[in-house]
Amino acid sequence: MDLPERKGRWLANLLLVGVVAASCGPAATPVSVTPTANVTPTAAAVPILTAGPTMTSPAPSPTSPAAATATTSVVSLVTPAAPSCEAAEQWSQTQGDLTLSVCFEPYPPRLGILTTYEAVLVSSAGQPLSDARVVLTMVGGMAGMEGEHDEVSP
Amino acid sequence: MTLESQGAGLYTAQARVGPTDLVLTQVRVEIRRDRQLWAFSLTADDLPPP
Repeated sequence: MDLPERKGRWLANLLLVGVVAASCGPAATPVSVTPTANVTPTAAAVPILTAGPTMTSPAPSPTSPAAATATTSVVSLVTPAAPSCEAAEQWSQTQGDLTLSVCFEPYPPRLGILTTYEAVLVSSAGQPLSDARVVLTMVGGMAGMEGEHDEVSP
Repeated sequence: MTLESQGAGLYTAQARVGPTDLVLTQVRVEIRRDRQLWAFSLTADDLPPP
């Protein structure tokens, strides 16, 4: 047998061993493959959840744009969600030909708390007045110190 | 604080006013329209807890 022929047989044997190993492998491998397969999904799932940049993406997003969006949406949600004076009038008084209705959310109003203030102006004829200038001033005082007060503004 | 007109006679504002260690004793509302001026005043008694 010359060298090329010996190389050929050696390669053929090597391939045979490989085929046998491959065909036998699955029998033994399944055990290790199954776990691997189980691990793979787990490993695949973990990366998806962990790397799942789900944590990475949301984290940065909320911090910057999402946080702003959340804040914005909260503010924009609060306004429409706040009870309208027409629906939940908390205080009303008429002076001359003008009726003022006021409501606060949350109620009763307190200083230092984010509050939505609403006022509704209606003329004696029942017409809403939308072209007025409405200025609201909150006056606060120390608890238990009657007569003492400070005007506060945002 | 000036309340913004939302149309239909509705004016709104959202703000955090003053420190929490002060007790609200009065709310004044001043309304100007053309040359007319209305001044309303609410005391804490006018705003009782529900």
